[in-house]
Amino acid sequence: MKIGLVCPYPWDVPGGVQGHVRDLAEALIELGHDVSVLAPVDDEDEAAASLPAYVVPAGRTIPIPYNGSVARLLFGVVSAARVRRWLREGDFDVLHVHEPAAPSLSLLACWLATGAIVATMHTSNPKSRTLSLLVPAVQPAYEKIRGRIAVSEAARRTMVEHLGGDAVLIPNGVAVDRFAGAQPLDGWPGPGGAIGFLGRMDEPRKGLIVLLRAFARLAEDRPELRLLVAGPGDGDEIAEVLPKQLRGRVHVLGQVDEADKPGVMVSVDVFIAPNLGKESFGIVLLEAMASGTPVLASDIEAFRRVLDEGRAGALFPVGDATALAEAAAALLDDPSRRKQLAEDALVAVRRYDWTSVAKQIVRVYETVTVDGRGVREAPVVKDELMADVDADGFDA
Amino acid sequence: MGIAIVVGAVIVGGLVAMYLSWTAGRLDRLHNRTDAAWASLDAQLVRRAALAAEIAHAAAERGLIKPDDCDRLAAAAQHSLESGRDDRAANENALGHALRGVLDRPAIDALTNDPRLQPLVEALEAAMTKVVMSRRFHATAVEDTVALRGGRAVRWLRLAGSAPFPAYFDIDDTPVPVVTSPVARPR
Repeated sequence: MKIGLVCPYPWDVPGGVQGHVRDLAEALIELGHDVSVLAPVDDEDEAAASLPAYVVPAGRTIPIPYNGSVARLLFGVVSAARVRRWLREGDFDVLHVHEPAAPSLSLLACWLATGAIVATMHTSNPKSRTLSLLVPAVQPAYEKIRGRIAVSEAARRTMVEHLGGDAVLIPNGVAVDRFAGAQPLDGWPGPGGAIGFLGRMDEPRKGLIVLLRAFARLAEDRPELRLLVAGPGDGDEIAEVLPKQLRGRVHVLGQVDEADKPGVMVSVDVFIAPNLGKESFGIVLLEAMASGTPVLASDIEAFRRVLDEGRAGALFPVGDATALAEAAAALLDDPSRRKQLAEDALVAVRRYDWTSVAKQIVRVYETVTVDGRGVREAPVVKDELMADVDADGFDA
Repeated sequence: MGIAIVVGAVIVGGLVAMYLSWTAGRLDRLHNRTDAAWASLDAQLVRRAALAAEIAHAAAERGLIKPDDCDRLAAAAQHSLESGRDDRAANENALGHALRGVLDRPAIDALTNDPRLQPLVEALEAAMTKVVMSRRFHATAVEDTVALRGGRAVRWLRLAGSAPFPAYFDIDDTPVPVVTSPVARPR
């Protein structure tokens, strides 16, 4: 299949949507599809050398305030011309735009194309006033989208509230192989054992407090046990909950890069996700599972599903520090059970690998391309809104 | 003065005409999208029924599923394939019900352990998923079309022409969980 993907945010700036588009493009190429990604690139000279062959730069972005932060979006005559040329030359069977809610390259592509168009919604922002204001302007372009995908239940709900209609839920994938074979940090987990946490420290629903209370119990019987904490936040909670003599056994790493995550995860004997709820999807669990670290997690619905009803990782009652301490102790004392959980987790996490996710997305493509007519450029005369923008050939 | 009024009227008239023709274009596109979505949903439903029939016959031949169950599935698939416009939804519902009833865990295991049936079960799983997807896309297309057709200008000026009012296709399309647990394997 010839697939055209549109990324609304600059390729050379790291971000969740960009990462999603990159991983999807690479998984689709691996499955034997012909993929081209149209994306803004802020510094073409700088990025030229590192740009993958499948990326076609669409020009620079213009920063504008959006949703309370600055979004780097892209507009203008040059981009319209580039989008048209990309559509012509690509001759795609399906056009897949990402995050078309923002006034962006993705929306522009919807405007300028007609035929088999699919869109993925990433944002979960239940009360976006900007989005509500933009609905009348984007509605006509939205009406061309034949199939909508949402990456989470929250993203789906946001879309339904603002635009109506419905979407198919296909979660983000995990690049399982990127997590395999990581090296632990120096001296970790150590002979006395170690447990770990990764997530925002200052966000109560991530449940660090529960883990700290459990650690205080565990530490009494295990003089060498250590706790590794990674993620944004200052870790004030640690001093509040733990007695002084235990604080030295908690190592706070702060925020870690994507590339360092696997190493952090394999540095502990048990990875703990003490979240208190409202988690739509346990991406951090999937990453721990992919790294081969046994997982102990709160028994919330999303985690239970990811952990295959407890077969691919242990569960404990939400918010219960005593139960957490007991479950962690049992795992720390039973290396063969840990090994078994880690092995089963590696099997279970394959379902969430990008290859499996890309196969689901291809099924969406197949349902919108039944007419076999592919994607064409929208006739210029019919698009009065864009007609004046596209009058001159500004092709660089 | 007179000329100014005429010019003004011409400009306003031109803008109104542009808006109306643009809206008519939108409507036309939405009707096309709804038709395409229905064609896709129809194709996935036919595929699901054809695979269900093939699996029922092959499983009966090889004695993989109880004969009664095979007959039930084959009959439901046949009804679905022979449906007319009026009994389509009821027959598709009955097929979905038969699939969920017959293809329980032991039946799926028996089928997927047979090298001839295994690819058919996989294809059925894909078809069931695509029924869910295409039905959702069809419902969204119908919703968008109905929303635009509800507008006053569209109703009063009959911009939709003779295009029939689109209808939802409501069935229970809950698929059979073919892959339940990747970890549940003999130890």
